Amino acid sequence: MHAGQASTVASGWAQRRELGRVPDEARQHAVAMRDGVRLATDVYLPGRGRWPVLVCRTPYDKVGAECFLPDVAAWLSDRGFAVVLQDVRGKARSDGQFDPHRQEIADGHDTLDWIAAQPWCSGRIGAFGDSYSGYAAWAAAATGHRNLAAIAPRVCSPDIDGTRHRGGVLELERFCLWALETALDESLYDGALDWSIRPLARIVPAALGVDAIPVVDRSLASPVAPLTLPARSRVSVLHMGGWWDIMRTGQMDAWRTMRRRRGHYLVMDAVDHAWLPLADPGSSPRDPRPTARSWDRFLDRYLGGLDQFFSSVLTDRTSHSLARIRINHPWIGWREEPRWPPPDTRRKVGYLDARGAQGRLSATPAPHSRVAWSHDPSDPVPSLVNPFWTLALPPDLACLAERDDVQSFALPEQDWPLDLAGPAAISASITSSAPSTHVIATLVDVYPDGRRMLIATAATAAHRPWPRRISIDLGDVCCRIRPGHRLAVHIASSSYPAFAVHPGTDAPPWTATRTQPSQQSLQCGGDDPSLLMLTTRPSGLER
Amino acid sequence: MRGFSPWADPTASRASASVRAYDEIRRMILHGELAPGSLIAEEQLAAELGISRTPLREALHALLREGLVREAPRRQLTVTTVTRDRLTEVLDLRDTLEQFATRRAAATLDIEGIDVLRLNLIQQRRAARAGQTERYLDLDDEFHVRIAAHNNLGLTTEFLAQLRSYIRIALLGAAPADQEWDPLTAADQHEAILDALEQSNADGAAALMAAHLANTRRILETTEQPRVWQRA
Repeated sequence: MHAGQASTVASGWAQRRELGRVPDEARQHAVAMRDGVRLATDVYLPGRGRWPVLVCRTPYDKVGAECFLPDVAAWLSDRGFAVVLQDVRGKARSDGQFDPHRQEIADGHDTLDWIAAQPWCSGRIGAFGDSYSGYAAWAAAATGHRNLAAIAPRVCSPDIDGTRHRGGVLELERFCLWALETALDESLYDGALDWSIRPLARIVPAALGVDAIPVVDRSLASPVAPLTLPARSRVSVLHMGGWWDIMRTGQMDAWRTMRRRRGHYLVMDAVDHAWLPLADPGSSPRDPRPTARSWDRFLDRYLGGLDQFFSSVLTDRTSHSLARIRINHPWIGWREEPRWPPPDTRRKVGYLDARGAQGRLSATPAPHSRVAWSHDPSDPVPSLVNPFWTLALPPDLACLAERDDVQSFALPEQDWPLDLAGPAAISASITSSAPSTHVIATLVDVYPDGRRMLIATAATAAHRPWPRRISIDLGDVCCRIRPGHRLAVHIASSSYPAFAVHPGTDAPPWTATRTQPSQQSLQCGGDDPSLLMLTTRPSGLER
Repeated sequence: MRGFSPWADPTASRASASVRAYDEIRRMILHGELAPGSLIAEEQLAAELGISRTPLREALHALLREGLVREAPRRQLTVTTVTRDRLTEVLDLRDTLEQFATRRAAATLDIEGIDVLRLNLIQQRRAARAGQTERYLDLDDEFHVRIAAHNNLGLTTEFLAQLRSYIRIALLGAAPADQEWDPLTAADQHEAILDALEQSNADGAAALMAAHLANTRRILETTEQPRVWQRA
């Protein structure tokens, strides 16, 4: 491909991305689906003979730099797997119209049929992938195809709409970034989004220079039903996620519903959606690509668990047993756990207390107090955090706690660590002058020098009658609050563009053009207390 | 930064400067951005491509060997022109070579070879529907040349690529103006040829190829005053 083909879309500013080059070692195929549409499919073989096969299906260009899948294929084929990489229907070099998520069940099944019929296939197939590709692996497993023995979906959930709208609020930024890159046509697009555009529905079309994007409208209008495994499914699943991944809650929900089945394993790392590791704030992120050695080290870390899992399920060559639950506890390290949450954890409640200059979280119910703030949809609270590479240059959120429209409640400083390890949630009593509103809760780690680093964030929509008891599910949270640090929770009515901003009127946030400021208040203590519920290890609060 | 990865695109500079320059200048010639007969302004071209003179010279040498640029007086280089006499010879040779390569392919092309051509066909139809004529013609050339290349017909492949480049230069400005020429119809003909090849039907594939090639010939011969004849 050459520079002349990269073109700017008419009147938009996003750039069409050039497709990557198919490596010489890939055998290229055009695999026909049941309706005759052919999907571009590359095969990487370790040598002559029959091999267990690992398949990854992606909308992000199977040979593009973004997902570096040819490097992944080379790494896996060095370890005795045949690897199949495929552009999904309607994307990159594959034919047909892109119908995201819905199309992956039938196409996943037909691709497995094709693989199983190839002379290089041992008959045992695994599917893997991050994010959308992980969803495609779930979709393949949902078919119950008899040759699919194992899947390793990473940073994804089989319930796509459930991760997109948590608590009834659209996770706007990541949805729009995804739509910009993926949803227009077979190409991939890069460019900045103008978050000041209203209605929100115009943000992505404006960047692409189009009036509408049918795929986006359809995705929001008719949600995709969650994928489920057939009752008799014997597929093994390696559930892989990160504590700073945007799909964390949906992914943990999926693991939780399936954890009693045979062959389900959980690995949670201290990473974000792009599998970047947690590092001390202020330290510069390390690009793993500069040298072949650093890149190999990255691939070893990124793929090591996959190799172990697929080797044990698809081949006879390993006998070691896999740990059912492996957790990388932030600031502590890797531990195998017998259960999740671990058996030695207990529920802990922090009561929101607004008396005094600084909001506090107290261990006992506090007398009645109340905080009020205004929500101005034209000046929302900035979210600051990148949804995909959250840990690349994690921002200091201390500036948010300074704002009048953000309420902060903190635990007192302790001399011993507080270990969070399990579900966290807010239950609060909210009143608004608007007919409905959003409430956003953000857990932060307050450093001794005052920096505030993100632990987890979540939102919920609330509506009349007021006061309304709301609950915000922060999902499973895992972090050590080290001695000298404090745990705090921020409560606000917006976090933009992470979440769709509430217009302050009855109009749907996605299409609203007119906005109106509103007054919000939160009741603390008294007979209708607001509280933060945590799952902690006794080394912390109990001591 | 792009997509879900915060790191810059590492593939951007993988190909050497001379290879990138060769690809880009070749594209400029075939797309008519460097007009037939025009002088190659080396300094300007190097600046435009953001490369130094040495890789540019290497690229121009390769294009000289391929016949896409010619030596002019005072050691200067010009973009090749194709005269009317030369074009007739080019078309005759092309027809002969493609029939030969197609018959051979019917006997030797395996499913992988067929599939690579089918993937090209998907791109052809996309380009055709989007009205990207030059992109379509690039894919069209690639399709025909690959039929020979998959047979290990090295010389045939080389000659065919050169002949098709001459036809591109001769066709410049003609094809988009021709109302009867429809790239989607041409893509359908490509698919019919592929189906015959997949069934190892040598006679059928060769006949379909002959009919398909006759089309471009007709366009060249019926279009009034394509650029080639004005300049020759």
